[in-house]
Amino acid sequence: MSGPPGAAGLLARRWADLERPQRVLLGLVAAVVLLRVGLYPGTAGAPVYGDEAYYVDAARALSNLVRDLVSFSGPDTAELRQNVAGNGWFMPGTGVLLTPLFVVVPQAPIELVRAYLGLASTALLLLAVLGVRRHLGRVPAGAVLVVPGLVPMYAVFGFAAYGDLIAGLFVLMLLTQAVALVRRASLGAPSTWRHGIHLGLLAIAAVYFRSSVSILVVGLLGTTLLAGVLLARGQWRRLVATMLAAGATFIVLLAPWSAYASHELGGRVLTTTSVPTVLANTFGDRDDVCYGECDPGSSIWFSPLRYSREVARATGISEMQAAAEMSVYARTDVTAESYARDVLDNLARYLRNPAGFARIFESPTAPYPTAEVVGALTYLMAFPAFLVGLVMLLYVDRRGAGAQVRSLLVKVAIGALLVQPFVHIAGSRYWMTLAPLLGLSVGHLYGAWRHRGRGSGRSVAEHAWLTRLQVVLAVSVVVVAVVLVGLAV
Amino acid sequence: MAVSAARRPRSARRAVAALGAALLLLLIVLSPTFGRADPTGSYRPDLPPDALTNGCWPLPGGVRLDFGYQIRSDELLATTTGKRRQLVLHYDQVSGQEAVDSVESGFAAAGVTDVHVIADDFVGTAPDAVVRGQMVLDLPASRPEGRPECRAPFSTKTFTPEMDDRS
Repeated sequence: MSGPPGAAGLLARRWADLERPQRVLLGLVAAVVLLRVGLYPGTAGAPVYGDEAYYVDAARALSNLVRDLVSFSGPDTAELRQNVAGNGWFMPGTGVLLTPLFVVVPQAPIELVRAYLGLASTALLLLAVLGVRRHLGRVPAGAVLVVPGLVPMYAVFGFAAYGDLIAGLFVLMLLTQAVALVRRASLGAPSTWRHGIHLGLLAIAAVYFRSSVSILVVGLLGTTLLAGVLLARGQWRRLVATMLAAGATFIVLLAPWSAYASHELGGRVLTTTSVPTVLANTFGDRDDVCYGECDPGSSIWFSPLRYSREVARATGISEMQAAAEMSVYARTDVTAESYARDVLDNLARYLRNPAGFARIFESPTAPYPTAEVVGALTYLMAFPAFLVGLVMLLYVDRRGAGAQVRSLLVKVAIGALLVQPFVHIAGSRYWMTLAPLLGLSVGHLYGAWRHRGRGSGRSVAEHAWLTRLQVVLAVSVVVVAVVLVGLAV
Repeated sequence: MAVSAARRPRSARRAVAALGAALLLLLIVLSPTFGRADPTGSYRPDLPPDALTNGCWPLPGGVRLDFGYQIRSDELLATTTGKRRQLVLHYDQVSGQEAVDSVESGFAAAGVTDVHVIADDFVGTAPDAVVRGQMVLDLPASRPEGRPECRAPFSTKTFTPEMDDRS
């Protein structure tokens, strides 16, 4: 060999060694990174919007906690109560993610906050894709790099201090590991408590970023246990032990938050406190949430909160109990028909404007306009992806047990995320959590399409229950849709 | 060649990880010298004081209510017989009759006579519900104090028409 090659030469040689699918994947990774680099200047200076205020404040207070701990002074409990426990509306995942930034740069400007979040969300996306490639294959990995990786609104939202997008990435990692675990079980390879802890960590991370994924976590872990035990060859005890380790990890890491929030808010808080007011605003009569109209001059969230705090101050009950009673009163006139109409309305809000945050996260000092392009391209990509998600919910995979388990887990995950419009006013950012599952669906359906016409083999007959479970889920989706529409019109 | 190529990244990776951890630890230890972050607290504003207790616009005769309540509105209204102060509140953990009796005996003891009190229990609330109903106090006109803290609408519950409806 003639001397050490230059970096460019080394890269060129490695590129030449790669197979075509690997080149495609690397090209997609480059596109994902370039898209974010291109969008950053248009987003960087966008001021903190809505709930971002809480998440950034939580990070600031947590960074002060770190300072107090290393300088052996008492923590500022009042500051933590106000900014981390807050109203108990959110879990502090995004705050914890941002804390290192504020530890190093306590007065970090918004441009730096957005750059940090962009780096973190991109790194997590790529990490999740690596897992998908390893356990699900190259096609789904490539599909996730395209949807949501190359959807411009998703890229922009990666700079936002909300938890929805990152929760979705942890959901993707959780699902990937669940697939891997079931495969181990079906191959007769023993799983260990380490696998369980890994699964539990991913599950609790997702919940810390967006507590509404709790339903998904329960559904996904439950399905994993069921499928794993039924497919396990004599290893089902090991699998149960693994899942117990997952559950224990989840509970041990949820407990500090539950205990802290309960202590600060003076009542039992498991994850968040917002459900009663959410139900009242979504399905009840908004003019009755405060036993009549709430105070003018603030939002449908802050006015009821102030009222419930006034009740708590006057009577000594917790503000959560006050909010729960207010919610019952506001929902007195809810009927099956009104509920169905509200759910359909929420579903429409969930899906109709996937680029709803394009203008919000366009910086006033953007060197070039981004919102229009982001909006147009997002519509072009998101609506077909929604359609694929729907097909995935209804499609019954009849390939081998592995493919059927994947199909089942993706269905459960999408279905669990779609519970959101049944309990909460929906908006343009909720699909950020769903988005990686849409990419996974594209990959899955493409694999099924390529496999069409081939025999499904003996293993399928052995595992007819897997097919039946898929049928049950698909039929449930249809039944729920028919009942909703029937009640609403 | 193959062996050294396989080994080198591993030891390099370890060195990078150790360096990273040391740097991180250093940053954490030095963090108090970088200053403090300033959370805004905007998502959990302090609960403003109850208007009847902060001296801004006390009840006639200095009467205090002896049950839990939330002030809903407090304003001067023009009526056919002149200006009147109308105070609307929700009462907690007592029935409307008990609340009215309590308020009326309070005013009688303070020698205030020009007062009319009406209470309506909410319909459809649970028997052990905390907030039970709405009371309207028709009071002689007076002037609230003009101190700045007496002009905070979420405390005084004196709202102006230009404030957006919360819904």
